[in-house]
Amino acid sequence: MSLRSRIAATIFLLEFILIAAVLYITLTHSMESVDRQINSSQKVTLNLLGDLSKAALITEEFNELQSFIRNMTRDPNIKTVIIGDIDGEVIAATDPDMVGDRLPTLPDVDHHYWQRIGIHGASARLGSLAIEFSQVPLRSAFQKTLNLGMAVAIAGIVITALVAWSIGHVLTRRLWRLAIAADKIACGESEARVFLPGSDEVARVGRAFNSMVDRLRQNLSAVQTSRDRLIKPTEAISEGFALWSADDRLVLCNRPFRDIFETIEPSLEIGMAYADFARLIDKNLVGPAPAQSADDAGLDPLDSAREHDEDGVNTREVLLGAGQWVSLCEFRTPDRERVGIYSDITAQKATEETIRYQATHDALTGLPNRSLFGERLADALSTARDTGERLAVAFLDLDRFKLVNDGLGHRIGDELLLAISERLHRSVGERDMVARMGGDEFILFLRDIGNMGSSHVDTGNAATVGARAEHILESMHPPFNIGGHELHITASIGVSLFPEDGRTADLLLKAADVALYNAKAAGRDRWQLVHSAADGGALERIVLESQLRRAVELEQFTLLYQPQINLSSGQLVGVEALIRWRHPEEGIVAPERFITLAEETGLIHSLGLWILQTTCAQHRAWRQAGLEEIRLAVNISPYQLRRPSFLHDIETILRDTEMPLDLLELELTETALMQEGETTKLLDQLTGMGLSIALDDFGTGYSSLSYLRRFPIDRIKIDRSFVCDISGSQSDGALARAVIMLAHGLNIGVVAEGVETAAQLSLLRHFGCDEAQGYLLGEPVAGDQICNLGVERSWQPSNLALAMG
Amino acid sequence: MRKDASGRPKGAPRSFWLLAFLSALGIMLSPSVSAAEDEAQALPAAYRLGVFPYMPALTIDRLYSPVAEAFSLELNRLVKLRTKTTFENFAAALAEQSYDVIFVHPFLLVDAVEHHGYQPLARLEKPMRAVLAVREDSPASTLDDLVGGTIGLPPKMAAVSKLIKAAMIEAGLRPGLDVGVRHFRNKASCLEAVLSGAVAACGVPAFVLSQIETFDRHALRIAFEAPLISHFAFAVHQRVPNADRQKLQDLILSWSAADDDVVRNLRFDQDFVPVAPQDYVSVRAYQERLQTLALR
Repeated sequence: MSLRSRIAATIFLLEFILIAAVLYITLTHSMESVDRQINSSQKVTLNLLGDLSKAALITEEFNELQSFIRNMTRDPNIKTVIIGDIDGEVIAATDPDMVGDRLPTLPDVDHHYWQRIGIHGASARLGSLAIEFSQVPLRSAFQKTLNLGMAVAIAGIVITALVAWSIGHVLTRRLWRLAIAADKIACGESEARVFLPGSDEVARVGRAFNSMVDRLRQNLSAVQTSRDRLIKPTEAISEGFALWSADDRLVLCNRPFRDIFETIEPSLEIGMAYADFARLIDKNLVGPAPAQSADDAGLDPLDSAREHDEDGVNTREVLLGAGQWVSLCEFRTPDRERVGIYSDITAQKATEETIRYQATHDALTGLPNRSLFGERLADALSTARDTGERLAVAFLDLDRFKLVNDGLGHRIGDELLLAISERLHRSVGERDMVARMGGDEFILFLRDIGNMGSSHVDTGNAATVGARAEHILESMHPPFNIGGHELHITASIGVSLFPEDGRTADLLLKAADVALYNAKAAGRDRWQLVHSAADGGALERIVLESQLRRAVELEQFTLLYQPQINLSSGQLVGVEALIRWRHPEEGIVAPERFITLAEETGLIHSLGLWILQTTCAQHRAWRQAGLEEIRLAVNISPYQLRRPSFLHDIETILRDTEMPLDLLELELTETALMQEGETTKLLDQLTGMGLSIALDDFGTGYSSLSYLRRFPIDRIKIDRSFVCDISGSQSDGALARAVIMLAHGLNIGVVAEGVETAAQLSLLRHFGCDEAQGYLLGEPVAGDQICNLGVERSWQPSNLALAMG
Repeated sequence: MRKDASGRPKGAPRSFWLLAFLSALGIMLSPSVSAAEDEAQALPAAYRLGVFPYMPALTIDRLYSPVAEAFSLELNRLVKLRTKTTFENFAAALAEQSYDVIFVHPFLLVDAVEHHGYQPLARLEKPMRAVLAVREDSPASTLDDLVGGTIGLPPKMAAVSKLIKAAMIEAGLRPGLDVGVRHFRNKASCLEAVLSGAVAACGVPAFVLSQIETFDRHALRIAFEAPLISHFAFAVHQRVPNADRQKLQDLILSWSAADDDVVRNLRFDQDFVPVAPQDYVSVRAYQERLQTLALR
């Protein structure tokens, strides 16, 4: 709404309110005045008629009263008058025919109402007076007043509107001229001026406007000059450069900018709106898809939060219709101007694509390599978990390919691999994948082989997998013509199934590898399923080996120490270190389950060193806590002894932990002593250092007495299986006794293992056993609890006797 | 008449008991009394008290409503106060015997008793005084001094008019011939006419001169005073049973002007006394003279 209209509307509104208020007050006052007059007139009439009626009733002369009443009907406000005596008989009325009748009922009707009063003498009621007053004259008078008032009000409103419009026109006439001049300036007519005579505020605004236009022209000229200066350096750079004003209009750009976007817009004009530019890019966009359309994002897709970095720089790479990749980098200056730097990165993108392809594909065959295969297999497994789809992983190895390679040369070998990869690619479905592992090994995953209907592979699934594997093998059968040679080659395939043989890509590949091994072992040109090739133990072993390697890396082991008690003194004389595996899924795993595997896989070396290092460090802590003379017994695997660096490793640990040599006892099994030459030498070196040697599990192996004679054994440990029945079996008791006597005869100490009852302990003491360990005397505890055992508990003879019951 | 300590006339009880005794005897022995009782049985539910309109009707209502109310209480029956706008109308109603109890001036009382079946109950104790008032500077001091002039009087049927006229006749003057007579509707206009010189004198009750407030009373003086006659009186129609008549009379006579609001409201400043047979003899004589004059 224009200022003129607002002024006119304001004046009109104020006048309208004023007129309405005056009209309302006048009418209200007029009505109240008329009402008061009517009431007063009615009261006077009632009193007058009352007095006249009273006199008439006293004198019983009604003629004059009747004449008087009849004349009253000339009053437009009075319609009917009825006067009755005390007996209810009409004595006078405006209708003479009513005289002598009984007083009628007097209902009010529209615009008429009755006023009734009793006529009383000085001390008695004489009769009654009823007058029917008419409101018609009052209403008529009010209506006339209202009509007059409305006419005046309408006239006033019309006049007010005219006056308001005139005032608005007068007040804004010069402002209107100023606005017209400003519009001309806005349209580019920089010569436009306004002449407003006078010295009031509007005239001053006019003069200021003219001055402002002059300054604006000068500034525009300066800006043009600056822009020309600015654009020249940008022409020298290879990137496109554009500057958008705060209101997002293109104010300058260089030649590269025009060149980059020439394919989508041959003529980019100065003054172009940024929104149009953004819309142009979106229109020609091939990829990647913008987060929102230009319209939805306020015509500024490059301003989306997704593309802003922390400095407010907006970067994006877009692929336009002609296969042209363009990098857009835009940011706003503190003055809200937008600076854009644009680069044609089509060549760079092509290079990146080549590198990415080479990183994920085999250079010879063009097949995906193991890395890409792993990613795709992981994706396929994720989908299969969601959909319940069954999936097969196949490990394929060419039979006797080495003969081709060695016999006909690598070039022929490579060409053969290329041909084989093509056949493999053709022999699988669109949803399957073939990749080259390297050499003559290929890996595949096959889909569409059924769903997970049961927890085990059913016949149907196996048949499907078998058919697919057979098809692949058969695709190899036709001879290959390579370099003039007709080459016949077969392959072996190991197949694992998801989810029966593993739920991860690694497990499935390992399982397929095992199956391949079995297929190879069973003959060439065959395929083999994991289920038929390996039993559960093999799989478990594979899994366990993997987990064990990880456990060694993450040190998922803990060490417990079981007290060894001198049965004569009752003193704690030593502890045996016992290892436990804190499996993240299965909890504590006993050493029986993993020590053998660790020995077979060679992990025992690193695990054994970790045990020795940890226990010696723990012993130092005990010494610092006051347990000076406690002996530490550590189990050593035969595989550790065979490692050439064992002696050096143990010396290093003992030196690092300042372990007293005479307090470290190495527990060996009879198996460790079977390689006599090297072992004898090693044990001599160890005992020479001051270490003591204990023969563990004595009685369960060969129990060769020659070991006791040939090796420097300090102590033998009677196996728990003998101790268990020592009190119940006469033979076991006799054997234990004989062993103790024999050891003592060779000046070798004896430790009984697995003592769990007082009877066992009693017999062992009776037999002269030197030391014992077992749950009766102390279960394995953490290292920090050994100090408490040494200080608080005592296995004095009396206590031992008490323990014996 | 002597009064007892309460102001009640001492003679009243004796006459009351005598009348009561005779009434009771008559009721028991006389068949005519029984007929009168039958007549009383036919009486309307309310008695009508007619007051001579010597003042405007509303004033009559204000002054005599307490009287009617007192009668109602005494008789245990409604007593309606009634009057007329003019003396003539009242006389006509009286002639029709439309009132059961009346309060009238002496001339109407005589007429009502002799011709319309009313019996007097009680009269004002003091006699009525009528005077001719002249201007202070008037030379007139007797009736003869007024011969040839015109005097103002109240309406024709007013007691004062009749009494002055009767006095003029007694003095040998002929009202309307020797002395011109002009009747005014009220006393104030009559006295105003004297002061303005329209009439030579004005006949009014004597007490009026002491109550004039609208103009200077000292500008007037009394030139002639008419003979005294008995004053206004209550009368009862003979159809009213004796018992009620007696109750009414006893009540009226019991009023004391000194301390009874009912009679004090009437502004006569005097008590009521029983009517004796000779009380209105002179009034009847004046009435006869006036009738003789009228016949001539």
